[in-house]
Amino acid sequence: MKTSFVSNLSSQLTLQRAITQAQKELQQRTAEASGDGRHWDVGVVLGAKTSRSLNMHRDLDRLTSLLSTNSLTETRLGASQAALDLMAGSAENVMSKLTLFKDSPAADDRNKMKDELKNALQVFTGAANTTQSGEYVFAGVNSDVEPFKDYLAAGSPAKVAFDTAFNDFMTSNGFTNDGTATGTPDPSKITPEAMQDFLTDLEASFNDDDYWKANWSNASDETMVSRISTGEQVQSSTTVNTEGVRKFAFGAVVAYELLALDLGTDTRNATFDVAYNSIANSVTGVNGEKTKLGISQERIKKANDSLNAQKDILTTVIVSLERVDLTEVSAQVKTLESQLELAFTLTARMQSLSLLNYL
Amino acid sequence: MSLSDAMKIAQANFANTALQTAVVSKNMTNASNPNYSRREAVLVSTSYGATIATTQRVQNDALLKQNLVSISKSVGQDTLLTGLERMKTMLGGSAYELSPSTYLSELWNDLQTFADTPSDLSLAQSVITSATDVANSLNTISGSLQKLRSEADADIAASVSELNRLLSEFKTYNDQVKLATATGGDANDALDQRDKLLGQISSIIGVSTVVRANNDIALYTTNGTVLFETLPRTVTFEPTRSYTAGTVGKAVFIDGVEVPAGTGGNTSASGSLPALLQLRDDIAPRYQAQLDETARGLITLFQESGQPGLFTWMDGGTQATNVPGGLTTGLAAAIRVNPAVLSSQGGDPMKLRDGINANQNTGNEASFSVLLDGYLKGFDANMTFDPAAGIDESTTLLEFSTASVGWLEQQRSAATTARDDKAALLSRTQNALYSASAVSVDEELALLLDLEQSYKASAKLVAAIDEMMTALMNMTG
Repeated sequence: MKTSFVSNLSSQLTLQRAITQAQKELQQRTAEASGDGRHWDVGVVLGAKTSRSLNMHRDLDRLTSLLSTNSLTETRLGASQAALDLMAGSAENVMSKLTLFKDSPAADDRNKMKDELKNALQVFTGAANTTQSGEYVFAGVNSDVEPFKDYLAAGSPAKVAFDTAFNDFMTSNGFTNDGTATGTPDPSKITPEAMQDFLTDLEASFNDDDYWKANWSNASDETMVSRISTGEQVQSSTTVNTEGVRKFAFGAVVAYELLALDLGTDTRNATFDVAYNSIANSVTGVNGEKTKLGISQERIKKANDSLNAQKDILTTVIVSLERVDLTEVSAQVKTLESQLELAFTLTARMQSLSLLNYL
Repeated sequence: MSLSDAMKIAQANFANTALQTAVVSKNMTNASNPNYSRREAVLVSTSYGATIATTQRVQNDALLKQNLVSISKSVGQDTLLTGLERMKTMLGGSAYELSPSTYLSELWNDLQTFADTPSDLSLAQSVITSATDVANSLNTISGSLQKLRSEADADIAASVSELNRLLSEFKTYNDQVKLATATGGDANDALDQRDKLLGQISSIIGVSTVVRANNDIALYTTNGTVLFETLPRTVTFEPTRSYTAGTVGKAVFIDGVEVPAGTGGNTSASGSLPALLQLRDDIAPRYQAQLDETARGLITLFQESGQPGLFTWMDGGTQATNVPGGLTTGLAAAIRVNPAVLSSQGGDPMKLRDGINANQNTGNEASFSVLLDGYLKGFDANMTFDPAAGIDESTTLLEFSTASVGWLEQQRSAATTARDDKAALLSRTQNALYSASAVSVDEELALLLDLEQSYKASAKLVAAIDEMMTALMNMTG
């Protein structure tokens, strides 16, 4: 009968397995400690929780991408704000020029004023057509077309429309050199009441969308909307279809075209008041748009704060889910090293512990 | 009793010692052979001293059976884990770089950036590129998965023919054992071979053994099918060469009874055969269903006026014009990015913004984002998925795709833990078996010393008898 209940095979296998196991683990622990500190095989450690880890990684990516699109939106809003400042500035400039030339009906002064108004209108048009990375910021969603048509350009539809309307008004009312519809128009004959009526009609047509879009604007009414956080969208642009722009255009055209004419004093004063008030109202309108965009800017700031906070939290959670405890790993490595040494020593000792060596 | 009797006894001892030394030396030669059981010459007293009656083979049936069970469990688990590891590799490294969920999340991010600046053609291009990545990833993984199934099928075919060969070999040695046992011959070498074959059979399919008259063994599979009884039973399998998602693999039959596949990550499979069946018929098709549902979710999410939009699919050889209403097997292999948005195929990426099937941007606005916002909302909305996928039935597409990775990792994690446990069990039972039945060289050496002493004593005895005989002769002489 067998008496020993131990065999060469079993004692060899035990040590062999101990050594391979320890070496395998040592390799994995070393990789964990020297690599990015994640588990050697995250999937095996997390199991079904892997999907949670992936979801969090995706959320983290989303937050990062929101932060980067937010910075784009902020740039657009910044450019819009700067342009609106310019527009408000040019409106104020027009007001001061109007005041300056109010009581100087001489032909020379009238022409000077017309030049000044021309400048202001050009500045305003330039600002309204501001672009930011290839997009017209005041065009609404129709962002690839210049939104504000240049009144001063040759053959501009706005000027044609105005000239036609004004000519019709003078001829049909008999404000001509001979008082008939076929005579040459004579602005000095316009009565204050008639002028008042004409301007009221003209202002109404500026507020009419069809007239406005046919002659002045290529912009769409729909403004750009940007998602700034997972649950919040804000208006991220304004358009030239807003009240402020229309009022400026009306006031500026009235002043530019009519105040340069040789009007009667009462008529001139009436025209002046309409133009001045309209420009003054346009400043309020433009500032209103500034406020709207300012609110969006503020929302983005808040959203960024919250996005950054969420990012920090997510990163912490991901780390605690996927990372190994480095202290623990280094302790494990030490234990494994000593286990291996022990196994090696034992193997050598067992080899020498054979009866063969004593015979 | 006489001096000549004493001489005969001493002579018998020479013969015994020689035989015993032969057994010891055979034991020592086989000290490193795991399939060898230690032998021992058994002495029986006779009127002329002692004689070697039999050479006994150390055998521990309980440990042997336990070892067979451990082998089949461990091999089954290993086979399953290898398959799962391969599926994990299809998804990339530790960050799952190649998984559909990763590409989906990129697509989502790109779409979001594009929706913020819908006039930018390059952003539209990048959305199309990530959409192509998603479709490619689904196509590739679906292809690899079916390749895995066809390889499993080929492995099954190889295992089946190997099993048939082992069973016929088993018959040879079983017959030798029966004959030797019945006639009182030496069955030990045949027994060693038969035990070795049992181990090999166990690694293919789990068996239980029943020992009958004359040490005849009958083999049953773990679920009770007869595998060997006097004669080997035929194991049949009809291989399928190539696999697509819809292909159903043929079953393996032992004596006309179907071999059941293993179940679960900590698999119930005993041996490689049930584990391969499990990979081919359960794990891979389930994962394919998840891919198919992901593909369907994509086509549904980006559908436009009831027709496939950004993502479409090939129905046979032609591009489909309908959105699949439910689980469509093989959809993951058929999903494509609509050629209408691929500039490489004459399409226009901007159609993603304006509408592919009908122009919805009637105002021709550059920053038209109604459709894009709709898609983004779709990403946040719950969809209904088929229960056959085995994961959440009502969730968002993005979460479904990560849950699919989670499902796979859950299986792999369970399989890895079980593999470690089963390997440890195998190592323990093997150790116990080797301790009981394998050879210890030290023990044999000690025995050899005994034999040497015994031989010397006999020689002394012969010399003494010789002296005594000589003295007697001289006296008479």
